[in-house]
Amino acid sequence: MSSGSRELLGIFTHLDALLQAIHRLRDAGYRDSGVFSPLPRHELEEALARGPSPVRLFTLVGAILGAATGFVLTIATSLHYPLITGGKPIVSIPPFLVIVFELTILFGALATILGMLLNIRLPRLKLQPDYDPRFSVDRFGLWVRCQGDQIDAAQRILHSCRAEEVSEVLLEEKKPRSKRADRFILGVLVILLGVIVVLAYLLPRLPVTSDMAHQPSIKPQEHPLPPAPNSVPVQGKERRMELLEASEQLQNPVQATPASFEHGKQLFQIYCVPCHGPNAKGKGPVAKKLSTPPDDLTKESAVEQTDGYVYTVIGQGGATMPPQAEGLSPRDRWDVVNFLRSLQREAGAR
Amino acid sequence: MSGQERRGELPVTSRLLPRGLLRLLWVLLGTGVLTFLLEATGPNRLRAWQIFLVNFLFWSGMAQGGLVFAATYDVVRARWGGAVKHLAQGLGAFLPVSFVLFFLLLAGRQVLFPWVNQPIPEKQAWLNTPFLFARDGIGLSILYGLGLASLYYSLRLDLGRSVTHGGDSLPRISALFSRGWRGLEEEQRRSRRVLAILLPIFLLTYATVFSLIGFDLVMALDPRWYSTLFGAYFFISSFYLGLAAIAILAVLARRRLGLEEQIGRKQFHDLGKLLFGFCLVTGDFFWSQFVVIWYGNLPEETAYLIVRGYEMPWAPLTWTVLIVSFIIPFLLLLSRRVKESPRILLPIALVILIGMWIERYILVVPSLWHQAGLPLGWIELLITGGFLAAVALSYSAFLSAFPFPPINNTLHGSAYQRPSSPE
Repeated sequence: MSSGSRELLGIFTHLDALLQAIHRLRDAGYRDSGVFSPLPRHELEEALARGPSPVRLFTLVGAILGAATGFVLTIATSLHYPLITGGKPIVSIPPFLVIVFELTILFGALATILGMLLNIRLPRLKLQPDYDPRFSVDRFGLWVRCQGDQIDAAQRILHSCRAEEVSEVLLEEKKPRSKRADRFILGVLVILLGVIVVLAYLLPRLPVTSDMAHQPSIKPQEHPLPPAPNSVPVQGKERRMELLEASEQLQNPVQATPASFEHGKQLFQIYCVPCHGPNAKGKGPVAKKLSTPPDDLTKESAVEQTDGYVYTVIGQGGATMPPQAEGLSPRDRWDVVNFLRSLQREAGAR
Repeated sequence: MSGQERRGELPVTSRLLPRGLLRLLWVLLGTGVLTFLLEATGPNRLRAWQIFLVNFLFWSGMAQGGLVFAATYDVVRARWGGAVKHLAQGLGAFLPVSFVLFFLLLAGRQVLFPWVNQPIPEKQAWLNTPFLFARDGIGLSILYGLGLASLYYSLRLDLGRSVTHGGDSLPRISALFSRGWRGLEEEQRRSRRVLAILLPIFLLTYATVFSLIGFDLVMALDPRWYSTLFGAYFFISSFYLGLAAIAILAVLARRRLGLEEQIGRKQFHDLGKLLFGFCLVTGDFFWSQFVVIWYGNLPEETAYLIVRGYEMPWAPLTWTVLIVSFIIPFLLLLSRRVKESPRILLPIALVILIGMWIERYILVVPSLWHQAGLPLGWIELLITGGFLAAVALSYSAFLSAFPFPPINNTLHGSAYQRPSSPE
């Protein structure tokens, strides 16, 4: 500030006198002036001709940023965790617009407040030296700064516009905000910005799970399959195998223990004897009624078949033989196989 | 405040339209009435009646919108544009006509309302001719009665004021309005007392009755469709189109009646802000209905939107409405310069108004018209022209009967105005 610069303060009771003074000063070439007002008036704004407020840029940028954030937030989270809801597409814009709208307003409003605070330099710890408590009650103040030799002319203009008082303000008292405070605020803002940038870089790299399959649980068919406490095991259905495949691949898992033998004998008498006969020669009581006689199970070609083959025939049935899987569980069938083998051995030994 | 007094500068009698145009309007009105009478009994019955309903809803909504604007202006004790308020009140002059036209719908009920010939058993208790016309008739007479009563008290005060300011050549009808004048102070006290009760009741009645009209005369045209928000959407959008009409009147009357002092940059700025705000509110009400129907995806609800939004020949009209009445005004009215300039505000408001007419058309016609092609031709044009003429004539009659009140704008606007033209 040059030493030749001085400041005048006029105090006004009426708005139109004040406006007149502003216009006259402006017409006389005094550009550096400002107003204290107890109430907001658009006329003052227009008379001071400061041009459009820079705050509106903050609002615009904030609103656009909010809309973009809304879109990114909704679309990205939906794509990251694609759950179909209500039969709608994963990215369904109509409901997203609600969030977009809310964030547009929120960011716009916050940016407006921020822009306002930055532009009017709030918060301010000290009052300006030309401030008068009356400016918060019922008086307008008009300050004008000019070169020393112009001050008389300015004073005349203020008086001619019915200023209540005109006084000179001592400029030495009026200090601009210290550089250090400015630097401090700027530093805080830069650090905040840095944090936001770092967060913006880190956040997309967080390991976000993108599907429900990706979670710490045991997947279907994954081993080990621990039984739930107090549960009763239930035999599942076995895989249906072709006869040829079964005869080559199926191994008899049941050892021919006496218990297996006894159980097999019992079942054989129930399920097999009616057709195949008590010693499996194909001469059961029902056999007489059949046009195709049941096989002799002790003949060489039957003895040569693997356990898997016999097991599968019992389950699935043969040319005329009905399938027995419904009445005989896999375990039962293996027992029958074991018993049949002993019958065959007996017949061979004889 | 020591601003200049601007009283008594207004023309006592205000003639908005030149004589030639008036004559043209009478011709237009006659042609419209004649077309309607001929077609309503002929083979094009449905076309005549459906466009009658569209225009009834549109112009009655506009007339109501004008009165609601004036009532809101008084309720919030606004002082930014008395001349604009007077212009808005003029729209109410169509209401007596609108009241008669409502009962004319009785004659067309067989053609217009599908539930007359094919009643829906579950809804018959609500949708039947005597009950519908009784409840809507009573609702409208209360609403129009309240509107005209508030108009009377508001005008009486203004007219009385101009009597005290030496208006000797007042037209007869406005002399009738100010009969038994008891002095400004006394009248002011009385008016304020009456209006303080009347206006809020009027505004609430407007919301209620126009919701009912929306349900009964528009939603029930498709008797299987329903949307709870439809009534609210209907009265809000009626106010929106009323605002657009007021903006147009403000631009036209300003030049024609020499109201440059009363309707300036500030008034246009405020009108523009109102238009912008109600563009958003109306759009929001539309959206609130749309998003619920879209998400619920229930066949009985979506059919209404699918027919209008995706099927020919309605889809282009629907999208035109959305773009012309909502998206374009929203984008343009963001700018302060646009709001303040009557030269730009006029086309925007005009486009909004045309868009809202198409919107009323798209609400009504697809429910009724099940034949091929778009029913939009000479019949529709002439009948719409007749309605336009009726509204314009009643408006012009209002302006020549009731002079502009001496408006004191010193509080706002002309406290200190540099001599600059808003254009």
